[in-house]
Amino acid sequence: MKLSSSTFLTEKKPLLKQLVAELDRRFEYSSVLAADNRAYRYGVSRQGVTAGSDPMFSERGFVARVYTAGSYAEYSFNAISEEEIPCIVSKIEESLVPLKDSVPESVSVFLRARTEEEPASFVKSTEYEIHPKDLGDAEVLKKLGAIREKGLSLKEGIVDVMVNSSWQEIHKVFISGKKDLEQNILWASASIAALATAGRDLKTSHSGHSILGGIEVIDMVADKIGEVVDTAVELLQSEPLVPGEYECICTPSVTGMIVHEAFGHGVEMDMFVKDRALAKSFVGQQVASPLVSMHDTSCNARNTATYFFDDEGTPANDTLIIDHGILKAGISDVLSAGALGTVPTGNGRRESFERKAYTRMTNTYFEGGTDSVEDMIASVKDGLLLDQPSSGMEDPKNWGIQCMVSFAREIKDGKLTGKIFSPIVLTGYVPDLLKSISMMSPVVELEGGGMCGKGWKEWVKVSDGGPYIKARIRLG
Amino acid sequence: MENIINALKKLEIAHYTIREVKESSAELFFIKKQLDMRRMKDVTKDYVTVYRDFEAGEMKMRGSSLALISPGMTDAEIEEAVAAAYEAALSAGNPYYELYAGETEEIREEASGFSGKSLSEIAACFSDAIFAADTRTDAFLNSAELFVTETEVRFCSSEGFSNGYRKCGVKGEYVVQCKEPQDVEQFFQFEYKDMDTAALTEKVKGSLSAVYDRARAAKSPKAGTYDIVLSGTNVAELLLFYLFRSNAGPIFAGYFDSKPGSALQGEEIKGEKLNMTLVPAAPFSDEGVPMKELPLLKDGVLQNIHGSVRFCRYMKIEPTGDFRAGKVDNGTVPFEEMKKGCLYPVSFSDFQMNPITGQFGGEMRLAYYYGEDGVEILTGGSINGSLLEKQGDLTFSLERYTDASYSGPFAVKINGVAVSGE
Repeated sequence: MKLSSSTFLTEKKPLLKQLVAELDRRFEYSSVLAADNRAYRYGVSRQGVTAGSDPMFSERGFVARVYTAGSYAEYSFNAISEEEIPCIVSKIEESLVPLKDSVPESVSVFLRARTEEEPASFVKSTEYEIHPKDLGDAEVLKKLGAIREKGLSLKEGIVDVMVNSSWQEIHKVFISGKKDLEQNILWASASIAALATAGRDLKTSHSGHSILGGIEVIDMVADKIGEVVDTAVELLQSEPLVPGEYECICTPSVTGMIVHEAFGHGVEMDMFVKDRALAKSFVGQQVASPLVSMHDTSCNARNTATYFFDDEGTPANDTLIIDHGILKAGISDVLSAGALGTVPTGNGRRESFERKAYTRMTNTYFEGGTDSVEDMIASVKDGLLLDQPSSGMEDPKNWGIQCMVSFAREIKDGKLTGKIFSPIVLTGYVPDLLKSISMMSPVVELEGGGMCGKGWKEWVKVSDGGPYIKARIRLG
Repeated sequence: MENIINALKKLEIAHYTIREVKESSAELFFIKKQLDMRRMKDVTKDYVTVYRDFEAGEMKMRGSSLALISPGMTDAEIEEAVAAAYEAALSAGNPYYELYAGETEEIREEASGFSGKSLSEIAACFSDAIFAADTRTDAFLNSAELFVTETEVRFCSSEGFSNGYRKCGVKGEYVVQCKEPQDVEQFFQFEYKDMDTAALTEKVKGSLSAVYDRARAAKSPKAGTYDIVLSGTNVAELLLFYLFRSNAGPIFAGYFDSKPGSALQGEEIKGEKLNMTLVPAAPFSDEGVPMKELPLLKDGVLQNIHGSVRFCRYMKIEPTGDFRAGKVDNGTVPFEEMKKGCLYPVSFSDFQMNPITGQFGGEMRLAYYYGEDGVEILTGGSINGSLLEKQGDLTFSLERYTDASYSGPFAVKINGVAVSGE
């Protein structure tokens, strides 16, 4: 089924066009992005049952952008009517534009060229099998509850099994002098986490799945309950790891975190404008093993960061970032591209209509290789299998790595020994890690259960992944 | 709000809470000494929680669900959204609990230096404060973001109370850079509830000194076990462990067995015994519960648990609201003395505390090692420790530190922490 349009946005579109026309009479350029996003989340755990709107991803509002005297300014609002249009225009003219004077004398305005838009007009929607609302809240919770009950019955020592699911209907309209775009997108995700205890020790294990589609995602995660529960209990026997450099096999989810945190943030070109990314001076140079090719795609993956146009009205794109180890290109929003004299790649994304657009990743991954996972493990004499990423933080300026991984399984003489270490901190220098990649499995897996921040804010949905990889990594 | 109440009445929904949030902002985004973008915002949102009572077998249940209402929604749309939430509440049932029933009072407004100033004027003062420190030739501001926000929150409940508050605040972040002898940067955040422009200038000055030192940090620490010192926001992050472990939600779920009188800091305390008080971030919780300071730890022993209305009712205590900030009374050792023989990571990529497992750690971007042969400036490597194992032997500094979510000792010393490095 194709997701249908938002009635609200359809009704408001004539007003948005009227607003843009008013603004175009006063400024060199104007646009309006309108969002009517409905997000919902469900959860079952010992803390209780939840079902309801997700305030983080539900929004209905507008952001107007104007370009005047060499710079851009934006106004976010969520009330619009025929009568309110003069007030909105007045606010932009009389309060927003003069805000440039609220800076010290030593600070000037950053002047950038206006990015010319190509004319475009379309309405596009994604497809789904089962819309969560068609299934109904009771049925969704019944499915989650069944997974939880199964998990609790599998092992002694499990304090709780938490099963969650969420979905978001994205409806957006972008209007400017040359563009009239509409997109309707549905993504869904589901996750399982188990909490095991022995004395005062508490350990957690988790797994998730996300799709561009509907609530069918719950069935896709249900099979993982046994593994999640087993791992949580197993982690109670885990030991701290002796810090050092290890030969490692990374599962696709850990590969995804390395792709995203270690390298992806470093090619966000708003960081190039600020002189905050080392990658800027490495374009055309080898930054990874020749086995490595890396993409950021908002159009060629079926996951949580797929769209038809970004939050600045730029069409979705598939950017080849690393081609066989050579850094080819970064990703950009309209403002960064304007400052750098490049073409926007369709990566201008906002947490909501209330926030600024930044250069952001979408679905980011390494292409697959040719090695079987069995051969990869067999090739390790003394090393570790890293699994379950928990968090990471970028360092584009210095290409330092910080990724937290829940656990590592010991490999000796090509076999898993059953010994497990936890927790694990990945550190080191990004090109050293990427150049050390010596084997890659064929199948690419993407996971988009989590969110990505710019620093410590501006949360957007992303997915990341890749194949199993073998590399030398410093662990602590 | 009137349209929402009409819809609730029409649908015969007996129990509800409405939280209306009006927010206006002025935002400035800088790249070096240039204004890159300016933004403003005027947004109103209503969060409507509906409750539905029913029986499951012999058990009395109360379900709840949230609906979001935006300006411009028609009466029919509001009714549809509220009805959907009421339907969902039937599936999201939990054991029955009493809702909070408070008293109606006037909107509270805290007096501050922001009073009488427009958002643009406040933005001008704080951008002056940021750039007042940017005077060095060897280190400079790379970029900064400044958000001045005025918020009005109003609550209205079926249980007979209405209240609310107005507040203004300034938040932001900045990056400082030093190019020689190596090109490095550091990231900092700030948040103020008053016109603390002088404090911001001082913070930026200190940050410029830190990044100057980081540019001179050439090597990682040797891998091993160190006595470490954490400071500032990292101390606040570490002590969040005690806020989470005293929260009624996870306690009710059986994740922890904390209760007033529990030795939350452990049975054997060789170091300082923690004294901590919870501090409200706003006059009312998101459920409209008036919040006030709450003693949390006395000599390491838990005094009170805190949490949302539902979990407080289950734990048979008066609802306190969820706390996210605390103040700590400890501190016996001068910071200069504390550092001797220790590794002192000043900044991390992202220092993290996992309050479920007690594990803390992060990759170091700048650290000092105060050895017998002098001070080494270090970068890279990571620390990885367990507060459950180390909490009985903590030492706090005499010097104090305050930000929006923490007030307490500037530094804490933790003995015997694993460090990865060369």
